[in-house]
Amino acid sequence: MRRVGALQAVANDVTNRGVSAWLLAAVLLAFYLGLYIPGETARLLTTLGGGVWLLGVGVAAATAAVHAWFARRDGTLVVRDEAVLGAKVFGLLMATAGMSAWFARALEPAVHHGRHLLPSPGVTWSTPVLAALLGVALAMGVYGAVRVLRERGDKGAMLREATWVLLAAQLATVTLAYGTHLFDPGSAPVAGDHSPRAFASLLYLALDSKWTLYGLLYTCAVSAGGLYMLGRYLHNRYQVARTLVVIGVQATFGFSVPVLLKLFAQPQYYLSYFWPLKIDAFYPDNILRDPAPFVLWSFLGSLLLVPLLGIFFGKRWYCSWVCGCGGLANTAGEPFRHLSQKGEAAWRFEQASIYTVLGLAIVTTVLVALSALVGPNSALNGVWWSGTGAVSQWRVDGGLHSDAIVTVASKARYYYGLIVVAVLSGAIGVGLYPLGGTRQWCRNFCPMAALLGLIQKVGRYRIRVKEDMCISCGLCTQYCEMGIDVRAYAQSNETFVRASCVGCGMCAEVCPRGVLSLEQRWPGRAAQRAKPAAGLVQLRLRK
Amino acid sequence: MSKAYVVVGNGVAGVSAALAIRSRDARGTIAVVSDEGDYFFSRTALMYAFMDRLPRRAMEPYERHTWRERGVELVRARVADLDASRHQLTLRDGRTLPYDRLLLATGSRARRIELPGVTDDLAGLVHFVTLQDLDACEQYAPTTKRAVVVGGGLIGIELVESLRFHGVAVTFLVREPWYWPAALSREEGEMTAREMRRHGVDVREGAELASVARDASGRVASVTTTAGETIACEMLGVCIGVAPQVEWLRGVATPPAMGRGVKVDATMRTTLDDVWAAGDCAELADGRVESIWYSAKRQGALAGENMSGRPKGYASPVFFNSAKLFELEYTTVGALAEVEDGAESLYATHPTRALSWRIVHSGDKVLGFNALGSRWDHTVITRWIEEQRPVDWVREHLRRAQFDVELGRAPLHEMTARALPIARKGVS
Repeated sequence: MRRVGALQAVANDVTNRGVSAWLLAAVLLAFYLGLYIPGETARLLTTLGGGVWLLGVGVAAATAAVHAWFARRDGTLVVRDEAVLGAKVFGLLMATAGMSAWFARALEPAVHHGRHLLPSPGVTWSTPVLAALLGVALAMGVYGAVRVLRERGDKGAMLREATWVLLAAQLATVTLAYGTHLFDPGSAPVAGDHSPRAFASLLYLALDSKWTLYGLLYTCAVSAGGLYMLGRYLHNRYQVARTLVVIGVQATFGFSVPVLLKLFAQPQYYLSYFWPLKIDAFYPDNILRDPAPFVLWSFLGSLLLVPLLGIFFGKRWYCSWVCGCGGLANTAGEPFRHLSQKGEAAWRFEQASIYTVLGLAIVTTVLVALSALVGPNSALNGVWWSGTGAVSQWRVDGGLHSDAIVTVASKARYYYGLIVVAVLSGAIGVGLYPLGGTRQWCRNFCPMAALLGLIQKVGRYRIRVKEDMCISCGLCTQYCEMGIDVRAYAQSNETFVRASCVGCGMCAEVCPRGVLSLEQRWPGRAAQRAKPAAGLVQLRLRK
Repeated sequence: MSKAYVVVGNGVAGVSAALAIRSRDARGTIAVVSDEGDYFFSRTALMYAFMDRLPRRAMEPYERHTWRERGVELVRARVADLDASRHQLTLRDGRTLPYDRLLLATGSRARRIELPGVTDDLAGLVHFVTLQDLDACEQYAPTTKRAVVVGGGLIGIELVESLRFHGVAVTFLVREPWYWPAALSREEGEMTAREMRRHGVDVREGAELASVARDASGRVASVTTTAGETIACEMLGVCIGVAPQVEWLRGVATPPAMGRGVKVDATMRTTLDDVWAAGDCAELADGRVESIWYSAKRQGALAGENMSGRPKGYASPVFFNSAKLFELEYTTVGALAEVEDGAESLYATHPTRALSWRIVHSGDKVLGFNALGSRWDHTVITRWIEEQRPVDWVREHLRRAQFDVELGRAPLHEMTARALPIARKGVS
């Protein structure tokens, strides 16, 4: 029930699977899928289904209208009509297909004409478009500056408002770079040349791939969503700090640092990801190819930093402070966190699924490493194995043929990359926001989350439940993005830690009685504190 | 021979009892009878459902298959008669329900306002206690420009906040000189009123309803206060407290002994054989009715234990409660308003933020604590009260009881405390 107009009623995300969630998913998913569509297919798609995208938009608009009608008629939005849901799915698919084709097509020149990305060199955007975009950027910048000045004295508010300026700068840069000749690349940068053209050469060197553009879009989504998040939870210092760090990490390690690395002719290395999330960090060919400091960082990070911080702070230090997947979920995806599935069935699926993926990650890594060691093209053959003859001896005696390992390993590597990395993390990760909440990837598939979850279970992190104060209202459960039934623990006075908990802190934020608190404490001490109250039966939990 | 347990009422007391019985008696049959809804729901979540923050199903604390799995039969019916001599209930639809052990957990009903023209059929008149009240609120709110809410307690402010969320203009009539004098001293009541005004609520302290006018369609059109002011409105919320829902028991074949509620002893047993009562409908041996969620849960679980054969007595714990008054966190422990003569208090405020704490004490003995704007661990303060810690010690160690979010602890060192007398309820 909402008293606002039909349009806003449609976008209500609590009682309705909000249209805004579908929109965000369509855009991100389309751009992501576009990365994989070859030019020819894109041409075919856009030619054949010139109206595919329009169709999708049409279906989405029609379902929105149905919702609006229900909203007007009943004054309520609890529309559980499966047909409407089906139509939304169809609309999402169509819109995504159409947009991906357009995206892939638009990028074609980049493939065929060297480095330049959008549109092919020599084409400028029309003056009204440019003026409009720059106008928006300028307005945003001025607005942000005014707001920053107005909030003098309140650091948190100033930081929040400063993100407006950041967004404005992003928009202006992209507009000028892609839409004008101003930054047209000349020849290679010359020392001492400080003209815009010299800068543009650098820029074009950096933004030469679809992936970088996607990264830019992703970073913008995190920034914009972070803005929303900060505005909404400004009173909660934990949320403010966490959001600022998430935006910062995405803007630096998740985007700028790799771009800068490329400028300096280094491999694009994402320093904020570790094995097993970045599974290729442990592939021997990458180890041998990448510069030693990066390799060292990956090894230290994966084997030392991740488990150690996990023991002390739980998985939250990574999953909701650093990681890009979690970053998007907790910023742009914030309005949809409540859509996570809460039932026991969802929990069983999660456990079966996530540890399977962890197993696959380990098996794949081992296979690839083995194949590099014993394969005919073993990178290490010439280093120390070849002289000994041990390898070939083992091959024969063990009955295990190196070519078989190499074949299996390359297949495992390919399919892991396709299914887990591309489909599950990239596509499902953002595409299912409207259907199962923002943490589908993190909850069901991410091997890093699985590993950190196991560590978390034996570590210090837990959610403390204040005795007897829970009123079972269910807000904590409803707003848990991991679908944990927090209420089941809270109403039975049980301080707890679940492997899947990413420590976003939202259960504590929404609790109207201040029952929950995230804390770091060794289990023994926490257990001593959480004694059940006298005279109260310990209800058996449904967890 | 397995026993037949019957629970009347599926609120938190009834359900806690049913689950407690099941955890001790695996074979007995358990039936929970309710007229209000099919499944146990959290009454305290009503406002969040009204505010679209929860779908209705999410108000249910247990998944629906729980009841089947635990062998708890849910009966949607209203009880018409109780015959303790034959161990039998009669339902309104004529069915009979025999029992070996019976629990009455019928809870409260909203108190009605007694004014000419105010009847239950008045369209636009709402209370905020039952699922049916929620239906009514959702029905009327979209066509309401201004609502008048009467009452100065928790349910009142919950209804006010929900209506503000939906963009309804609200006038809040508080009969007492400040908001919620039963729980808050004047300073805290005024701070809460400021919070309400910040959210656009027209708060009127010391204002009482005199009459209500309805329009041709039978819907509320305006209200007039005792000061003679007429306020046009389309909705009238009456939140002046709750009373035990026991009227129906006065007309049954074998009524239990009753005062305000069903009289129970320390084991929650009524004067009838094999009949217990718990929660808002139960009147304790000392005459008190504890109409609060925590007590109902505690009493229900305890009654369940007693019914399944483990005798245990009920002792009221040190009182505690908490709430969120708009965005203002509120925690209270011990006695605040109903204190002995000569009680004083130490009251601290923050120069810029809406933060306060108050220690109520008699001499050096700490009686109670309450705080606005920050979160506290009531268990720690309860222990201090039980251990009779001196005032200065409590004041110095307050930070040990803080429960704010990480990085967001209320800055106690920036707050200044002063001694204040306790303003008595209703005394300005």
